[in-house]
Amino acid sequence: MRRTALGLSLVLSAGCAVGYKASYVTGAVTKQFSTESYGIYSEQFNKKIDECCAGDSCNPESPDVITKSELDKCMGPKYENATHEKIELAIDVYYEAAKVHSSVMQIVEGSEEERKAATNALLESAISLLELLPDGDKLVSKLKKLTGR
Amino acid sequence: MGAAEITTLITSIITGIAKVAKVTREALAKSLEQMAADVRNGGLIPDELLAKAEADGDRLRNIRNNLPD
Repeated sequence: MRRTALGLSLVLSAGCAVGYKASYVTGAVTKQFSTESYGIYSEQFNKKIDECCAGDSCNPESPDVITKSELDKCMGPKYENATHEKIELAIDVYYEAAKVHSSVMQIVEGSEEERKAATNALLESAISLLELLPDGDKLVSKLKKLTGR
Repeated sequence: MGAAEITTLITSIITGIAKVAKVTREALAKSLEQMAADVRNGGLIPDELLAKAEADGDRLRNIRNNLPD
């Protein structure tokens, strides 16, 4: 319910934005949506670790300890170490794009082209990040809808 | 139910809807302004997101590195 309300308010907010405000709002919506999406992924990721390490299976001293590959298999392709490392890299790129976007938006006399370029870069990096998360296609299409792209 | 009561009921419903619509409009306008201000003021830079992703990765790597091959 809370997510639906947030989604609705984001759609309406993005839809209401015109001109220079569009860059602000698209940026804000992208940042909020990406953070929320990662938050949901993070919860599932940590839950998955708890499940895979249930009992004493991740304790190297235990006779029931599992191997690295057994842990990878248990985590599955969406949450395993290799996937998470790709997500971390995508977040680094996205973080830099978000910093650039925020600094461009602070320049009062900044050009519209610069704002648009920073907003597009932010959006592209957010899409690259969301594509790596479970149900990435759905998340990307939702973000595109929210930002009117 | 008489005609007067029906009229009162319909009026109340219309007034209620108008009030909700006004509050929604105001809330949206506020959040739009707030979001724009946050971005202008350098807010919404995803520092927490970066830290969270690193912490999640570290948690898995620490566990995994201690496991046998």
